[in-house]
Amino acid sequence: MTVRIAGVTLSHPDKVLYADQGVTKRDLAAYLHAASGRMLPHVARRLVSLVRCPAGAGEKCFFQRHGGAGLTESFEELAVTEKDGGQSNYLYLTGEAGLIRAAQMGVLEIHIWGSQVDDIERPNRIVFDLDPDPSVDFAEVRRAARRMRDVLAALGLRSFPLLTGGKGIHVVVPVARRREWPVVKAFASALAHRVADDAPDRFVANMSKAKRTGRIFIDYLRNESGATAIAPYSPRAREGAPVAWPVSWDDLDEAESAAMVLLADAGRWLKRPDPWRDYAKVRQSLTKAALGALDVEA
Amino acid sequence: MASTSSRSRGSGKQASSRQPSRSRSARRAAGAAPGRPIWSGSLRLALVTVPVNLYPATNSGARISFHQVHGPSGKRIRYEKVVPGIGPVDADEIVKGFEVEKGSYVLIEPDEIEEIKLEARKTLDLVQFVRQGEIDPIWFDRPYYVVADGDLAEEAYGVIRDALRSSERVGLGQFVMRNREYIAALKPCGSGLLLETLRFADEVRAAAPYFAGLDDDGADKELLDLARELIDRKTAPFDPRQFEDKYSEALRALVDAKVKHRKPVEVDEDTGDSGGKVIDLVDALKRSVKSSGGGAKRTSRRKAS
Repeated sequence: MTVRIAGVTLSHPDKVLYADQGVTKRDLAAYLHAASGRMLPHVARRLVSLVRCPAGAGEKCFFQRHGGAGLTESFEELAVTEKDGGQSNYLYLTGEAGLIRAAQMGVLEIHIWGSQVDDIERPNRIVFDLDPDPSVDFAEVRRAARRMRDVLAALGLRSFPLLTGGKGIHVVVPVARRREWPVVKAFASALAHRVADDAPDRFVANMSKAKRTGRIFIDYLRNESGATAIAPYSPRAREGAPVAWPVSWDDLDEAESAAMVLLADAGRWLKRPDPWRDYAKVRQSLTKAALGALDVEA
Repeated sequence: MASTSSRSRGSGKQASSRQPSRSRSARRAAGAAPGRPIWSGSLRLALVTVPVNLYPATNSGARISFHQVHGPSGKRIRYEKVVPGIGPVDADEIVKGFEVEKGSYVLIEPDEIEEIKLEARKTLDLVQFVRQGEIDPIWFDRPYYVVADGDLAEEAYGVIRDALRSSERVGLGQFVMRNREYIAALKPCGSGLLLETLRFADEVRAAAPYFAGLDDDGADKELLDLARELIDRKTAPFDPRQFEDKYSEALRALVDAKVKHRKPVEVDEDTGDSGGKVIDLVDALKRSVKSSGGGAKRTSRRKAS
């Protein structure tokens, strides 16, 4: 038996992807169909890394960013020159059919680049991933997100919070495509370090786990060529079938965990007004003044 | 110097911390206990083991040294490790890279270095002896005074010293100091012992290629006699104090004069960005945006394409 959604045929639609919740491939595709209007502006035409769990969440999952094994036919490809000079084909999708094909392939997570395929060297999205040590309370993570919002606002930048569906919050900054990756990364690094230096008991801007105990790691390293972050509205391959969910700053205070929205009731959440409705309207960029304030050279 | 703010006291401390290097060496010459040893371990000659401490015999602090200060602001210059395009990075993000060919490196993690680090062998075995003067000075690297550690050690220390003295030999061995292996040459020095580290064989360049073009057939007899006569006339006992470091002396005089007649520039030792947390980070950023935006052309207004 097969099912067609958005012109894509699902084989084995009743295959269970999240055993505990009984979420099937058909459920996943139906959710993506419902969410596609909100999701595609963030996902379409960006290179993606996919987490595929052909046997369902909790079973063997793997990251895939290049074509092969059925993916080449399902997605678009872009040849990217790697740091070592070689070329690799990276995947991207352009419309709803791509999302449904992802479900068909057993893709449970979609991670996106910060740039779009027509100009991969200049990102239009900056992400600060607030990644708490397991001992840190979620209220503290919310406080950290508001801290990032405030320092970004001081630099003239609006930001948007995303519950990652895991433990942390992404603070996302839409920017005009103007600066290339190295400048963007230097900016993100400088800001993360400034915030961490200002409250070293709460934050670290440093990868090493040892220093993270009891603190929140401000991961700025997603802001470089080739790095990815979980896409808004992407399901997570985790227990409970959580979804990475955009929220407004006001609603963030109500969130009790970063895995507040589960796939099973995502439909209900989608009926609410778009918490990021201003996202696409924001016109801002890393100005000379903002870079200068952090001693970053443009 | 009317001002006695904590800052000027701070810089005063620096100035005085320059001085002791001189008095320290004076004390050492007088035989007083000389600070912290650079290495502690044992000398061993067959069955005789002597606990000893090593102290540098040279005094690099005797030279005048300066701090770098930013003229316009009067703040200390700090070094920062910077990656182009990324900015300042943390020390623990830095790994060692060995350049295999231009632009291509193998990276070595701190753990890997840790694994091959030499065991802190605390014994210097005297494994060979050579006649004094046999080692060409080109091999000598750095001298250290060897001091017996404790009264009990002194007798054995004396045995080794006297044996080396009467046989006119130098003892050779290897030891590990600060994770590096060294060759040591041990010889009597006054009433004590001097250890000199030696360069490894591959650290000294062969002389031949440098002197390859030179004719060694014997110079003109007359010129040779003249030169030898001159050398004879100028021969005198070696006294290093005869040679002056005129530049250093002039520098010291300049500094002394400035210190005496002028107020020292107050150097701000504050790190700046964690300046007591009086200013909130958000306010600080707002202010910097204003100041860095005000001076520059308002390119931020330009529409991004």
